[in-house]
Amino acid sequence: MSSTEAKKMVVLKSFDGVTFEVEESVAVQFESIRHMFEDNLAGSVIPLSNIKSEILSKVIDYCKRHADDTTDEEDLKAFDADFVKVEHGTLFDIIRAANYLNIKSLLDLTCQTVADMIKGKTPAEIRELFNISDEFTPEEEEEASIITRFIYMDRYADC
Amino acid sequence: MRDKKFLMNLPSEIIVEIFSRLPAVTVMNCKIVCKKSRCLLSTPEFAKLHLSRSTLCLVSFHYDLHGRRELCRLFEFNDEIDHHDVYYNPVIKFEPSVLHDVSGPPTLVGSVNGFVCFRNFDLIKDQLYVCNPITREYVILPVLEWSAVYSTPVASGFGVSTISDQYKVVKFLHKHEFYTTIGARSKITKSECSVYTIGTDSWRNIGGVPIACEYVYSDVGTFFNGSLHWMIKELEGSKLISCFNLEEESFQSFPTPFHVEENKKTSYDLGVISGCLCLSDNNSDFDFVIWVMKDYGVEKSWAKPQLEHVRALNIFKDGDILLEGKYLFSYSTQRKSVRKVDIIDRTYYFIRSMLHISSFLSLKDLYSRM
Repeated sequence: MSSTEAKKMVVLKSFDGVTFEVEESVAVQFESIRHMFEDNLAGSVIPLSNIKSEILSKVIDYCKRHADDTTDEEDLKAFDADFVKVEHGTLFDIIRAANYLNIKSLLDLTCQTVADMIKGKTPAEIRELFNISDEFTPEEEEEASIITRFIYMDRYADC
Repeated sequence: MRDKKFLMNLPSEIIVEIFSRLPAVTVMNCKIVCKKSRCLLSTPEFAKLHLSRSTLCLVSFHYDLHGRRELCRLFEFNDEIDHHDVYYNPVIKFEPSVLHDVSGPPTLVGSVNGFVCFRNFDLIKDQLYVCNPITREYVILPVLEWSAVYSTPVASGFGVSTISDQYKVVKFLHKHEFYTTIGARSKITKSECSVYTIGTDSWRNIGGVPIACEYVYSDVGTFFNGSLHWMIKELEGSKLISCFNLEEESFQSFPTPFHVEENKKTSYDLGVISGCLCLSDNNSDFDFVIWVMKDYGVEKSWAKPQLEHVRALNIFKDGDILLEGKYLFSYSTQRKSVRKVDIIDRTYYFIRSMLHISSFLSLKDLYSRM
């Protein structure tokens, strides 16, 4: 496509009714809805009924940056590191959106971010971090915790 | 609707995706965070995904000189481009003697996808165990009965077949013409091979090794590329590397990358570093050579400070090489110097270490699918 030609645009509509006009070269990263605008539905609005405008705008920002070939790798890394510095609730919403739209690199980035938060933490710390209510009795926890006893697999018993 | 911040409200496949990126010990902690996490992290699918992302660590058997206690420990690597660390993870250590019928120091036979195979033998028994130190399951292999009286068990190995995904333990016997009354053995007539597939009930004798040979250098096979490898000596005299393909259960051999002089004291050890089969040549008093099999002859040699026997374990991203002798050493290719990796107290001696991956693969699943 030459630069003088009008860029093909795709219109996305968020759950709360906000529309976003996105260049097709950016929108192609949305694997799961790609067929909708590639099947020549030019001009029609694609509804994304489970993504809030606040989240969709972030996701579009991310994809714009990643579609830009002129950004060098260092800058992109810095952008990514900054991008995930958000509240847990927002981060989880971005994960859901990335999963729904099937944007692999964004899903990778956000899942790794959450994994890095959990890494090395105790069960109690993880529960506190993510506001998980304790569902185990102390006895169950003892039983489920890092088992100290070995389990003998009898080869002749029904497994 | 529940609190959106709740991690466990994410779709199951995403929770699994996140947890599969964690080290095994943290996954164990996540398992007891709540019932849902426990359920999601206990499936064979999770075990597979986690295994595909697991990084290398080291499994090590050593014994305490004073108390005669044997320990199996895992060491993790922090392997970055510009530096590396080796650190001990105390959570997963265990004393093999807690397992049924283990007495005396066991020897490590192999480590594959989180499963560790070791041998425990003395004058009256010779038993093989397979265990997963993470899931804490273990199985005692049936005793290999051999028909001929004049046989000696000589070498064993543990690996997984590439296509059928079957975990197999292999054992070799030397057959002799006869025993003399004083117990000295006569000449070897042939070597026989038996295979035990984890999940089945018995050993299968797959017949003689095609080359008349002796398993003299390495009693433990090196698993690489779907095959187990041993350095062997043909009965006519030449040294070869023999490999046993675990899928086809067939033998192949190739020559060593150097000429082995006769009458020379010989000490070699096979290993895998940087995704290549390698051979550590320990014959010189002053240096040792690691031969990398990739293109038959990438030679590295350096001054050797009183090392008696050395085996290459791993090359870190910063270029340092992890070696096992009486202790663990790391050799810096930049500084041309050797440094003891001080991860263990002095009262313990290493028996043997192997690269390892912590996994949640279940032995129970191997038995139930047969």
